[in-house]
Amino acid sequence: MPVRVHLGKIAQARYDLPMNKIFILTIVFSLIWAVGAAQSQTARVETAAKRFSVTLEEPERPVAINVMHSRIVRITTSNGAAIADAKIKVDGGMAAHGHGLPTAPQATQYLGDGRYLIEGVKFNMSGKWQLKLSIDAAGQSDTASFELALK
Amino acid sequence: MTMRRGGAFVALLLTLFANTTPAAATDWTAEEMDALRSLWIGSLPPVPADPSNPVADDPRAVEFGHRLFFDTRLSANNAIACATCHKPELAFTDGKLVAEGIATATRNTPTLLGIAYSPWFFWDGRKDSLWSQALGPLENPVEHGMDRAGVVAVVKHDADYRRRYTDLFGALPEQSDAADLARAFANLGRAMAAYERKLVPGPSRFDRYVAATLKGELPEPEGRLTPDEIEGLRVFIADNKGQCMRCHNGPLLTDNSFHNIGSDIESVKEEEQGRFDGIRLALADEFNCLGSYSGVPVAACAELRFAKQSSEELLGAFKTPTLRGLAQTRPYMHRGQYSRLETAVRHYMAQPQSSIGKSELEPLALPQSIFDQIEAFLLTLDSPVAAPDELRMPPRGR
Ligand code: HEC
Ligand code: HEC
Ligand SMILES: [Cu+2]
Repeated sequence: MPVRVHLGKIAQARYDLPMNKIFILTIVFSLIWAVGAAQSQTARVETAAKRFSVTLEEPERPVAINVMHSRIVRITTSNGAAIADAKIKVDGGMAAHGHGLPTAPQATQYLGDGRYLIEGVKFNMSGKWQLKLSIDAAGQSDTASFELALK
Repeated sequence: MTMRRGGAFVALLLTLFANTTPAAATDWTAEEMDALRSLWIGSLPPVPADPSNPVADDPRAVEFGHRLFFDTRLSANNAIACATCHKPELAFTDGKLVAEGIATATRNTPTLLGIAYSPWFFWDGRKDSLWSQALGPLENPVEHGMDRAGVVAVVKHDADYRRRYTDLFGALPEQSDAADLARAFANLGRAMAAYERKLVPGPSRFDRYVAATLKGELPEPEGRLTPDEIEGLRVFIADNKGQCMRCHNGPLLTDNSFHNIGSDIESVKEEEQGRFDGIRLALADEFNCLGSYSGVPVAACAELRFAKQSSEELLGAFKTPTLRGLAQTRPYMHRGQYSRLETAVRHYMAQPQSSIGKSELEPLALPQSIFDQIEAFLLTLDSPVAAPDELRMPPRGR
């Protein structure tokens, strides 16, 4: 269920561990496409150890600087089965500036179909941000990392 | 076309060109134009709603709050009002190193320009609403030195105040049940907040410059910037030069967030953990968004619920101040440690280490002269208070 995304808000998916090169290339190409077409698809990544697949859904409104907002992530097994009992920790920041997120976002609600509400997200400057999820589900742990470009 | 006519044509083109694009016009890149627009006062949205303050935009509350703000009877020595430290003629600051109320405080008085846009109040963000902030100084022994019973009593015994209060909030508590008293006290904070919400900045010389530049026009004389000011602006907005917009962003030139920039002062480090303490105090505050006097559901308290609490980054971090009205708000920083804007700006050249936590600043490879140009640019942010005249003066009939 690809959803359309606002202008380059979700620019690129990134990995914590070395990954399948073809997949990275796909992401890079979709990034190029996204920039070219000034829009991109909902960002979707495999977790670092490929235990889960995580989709960061398009935000309801374009993300503005300094505005508190919520995001929805969908977590599935690598073959697409929704995961319902995940414990999610949210972290992130700006690697290039060496600082973390200005807030402490939390997964507050399970919305069904593998979807979780993450509240308390805020970005307080423009540039490249990383949003990192540590996921615990069905006795397995893994991490997913998204890169967002904020104008 | 003859040579002569060709020459005339070129001359005509040149004149046309000269009329629309002044010789001194700055060729901003598209990216720079975006940055200018983002800092422009025209990008400032309306004052955000405050669901925890039902009278936030009630003109009667503005009037009542205006009176309370200037009323010295709300102090232990009958001599201190909010306006004693937040003077309208100094962009609501006091010109002092650190504030002086009943006694000497420990921090510099910040401006109230655009304050209603901030989710956090005080240099360390220990309050999470404008109305609960107002309750702090009233009960602070070094500021107004009152207690809530004393403050509510002033209102009760002044027929005009009593009427204004009951019009807005219903009857004042007769017997002093602690919760009733706290509720009345909070309501007085709400009236003062309604007044403070009016203290928004108006267009400065910088904003006139941007307004014209965005339209591709030559600015009117009151919107012109000198080459030095333009150069300072260019460095300010460039992330590979001044990096100032990492924190001083948006039309108020603040992210209203907390940063360690090595601005703490070693000799007072025990009492100055900055935001690290501020968030703990905010969470423990009986008047916070989650408390029983806020009147809003938990869902309305995202700032407090999702505030960062346990990070090293909070040590020695202070709230980014607005940079509008700097000409009137000296001295600078939370301790008033810089008496001149020049030295405040050179803080970013010197980049002192933090004595607690770690400074977020990155070394800037900029020549010293650039800092004078940055200072020149900052002084173009000379915003007046956009509130009606009468709100910038003591209330009439007092
Ligand atoms: C004795 C001087 C003094 C008095 C009186 C005083 N203030 Fe302040 N005000 C200060 C200082 C100093 C600070 C910063 C203190 C801190 O951060 O710890 C401050 C902070 C504030 C802030 C937060 C600004 C920001 O950027 O976060 C607001 C709003 C404010 N005062 C409003 C008021 C109101 C309303 C009153 C009257 C009820 C009042 N003040 C009385 C000195 C004073
Ligand atoms: C990492 C965030 C950050 C960056 C980058 C930053 N500032 Fe600041 N600035 C702050 C904070 C936080 C304060 C208040 C510190 C304090 O009071 O202790 C401040 C205070 C100031 C003040 C004093 C204002 C006042 O009213 O007291 C000036 C002037 C200023 N900054 C200018 C600049 C300039 C110019 C740049 C770029 C060269 C810049 N800042 C870059 C966060 C930042
Ligand atoms: Cu950053």
